Amino acid sequence: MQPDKASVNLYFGMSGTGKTCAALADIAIAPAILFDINQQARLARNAAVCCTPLELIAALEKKSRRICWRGFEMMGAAAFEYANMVAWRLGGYSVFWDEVDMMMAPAHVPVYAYRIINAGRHRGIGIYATARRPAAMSRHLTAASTRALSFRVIGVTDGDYLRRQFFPDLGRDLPQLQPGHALISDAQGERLKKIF
Amino acid sequence: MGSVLDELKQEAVAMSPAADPKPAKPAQTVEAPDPALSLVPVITPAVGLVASVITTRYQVAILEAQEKAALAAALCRLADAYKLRIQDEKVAAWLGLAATAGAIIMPRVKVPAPAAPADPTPAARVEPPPVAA
Repeated sequence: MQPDKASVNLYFGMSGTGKTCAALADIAIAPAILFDINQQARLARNAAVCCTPLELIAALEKKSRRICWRGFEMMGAAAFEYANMVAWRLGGYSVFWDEVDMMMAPAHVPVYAYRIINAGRHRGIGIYATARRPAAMSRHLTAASTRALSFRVIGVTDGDYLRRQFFPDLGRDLPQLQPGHALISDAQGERLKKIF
Repeated sequence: MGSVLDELKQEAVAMSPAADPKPAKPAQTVEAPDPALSLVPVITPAVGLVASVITTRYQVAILEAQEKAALAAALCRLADAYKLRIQDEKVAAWLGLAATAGAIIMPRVKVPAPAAPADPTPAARVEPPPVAA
């Protein structure tokens, strides 16, 4: 079952477990701005790569369905909030926050990111966020989550957090998850699923 | 959506570096340190070394510390006036070390005194003392 396009979807797991691939698969063909902080080739595939605000606006004018935003090199940390501002004011584009724990501190959420988390669904803005360190994620984001998917996590702090927040029943299996398998927590409850 | 995009475009144009009317600041150039200063660690110990050599070799009075310092300062000014340079700081450091070590070691080295020049006058006969009768 595909997630609601305007929901808040979180993806957890150690490095290389498939968080980004799972998120991209869920985004599918929905219009989205992919926040590519690590300049990954798979995020630029079939996407309009934008490194400056002008390029981003030009891609939106052309109605590109997938936009790879790489303004972090030029704008630094301000690139995150700038693209959120554009997504908020325009509406209709989901945002993919890759390695969101690198872009937002747990206790501080930038203004437009906060608006998207709390009211983005009213503007057709879905959130797809990945993080290796769930315990370092913004509490506003995790509290607003409508769907959480976790691959294997072995860190004690992160595992405890995921068990308490999302997987009270199946969370003890997190360190033993097989490659490609993930725990999912949404409105239907918790379950184990083979993703890849 | 069109008006929102137009506003965003205007803001993006205003944010772009080309729109900044202020001229770019010229790159600050860092003044290279005066290479003549690199002679200071060389000249001062060299003066001490030369003084040690002269004192030891020719048995002249040892220079006082203030005299050595005054000589070294004068030589530094001379080097600065003639823009004498040691380009490589490492070379200057090694020369300074050699001069300092020499100034320390030289007074401890026993240099044979120069041979006295031959006396042209014949040696005087030393008469034995008269024997009492």
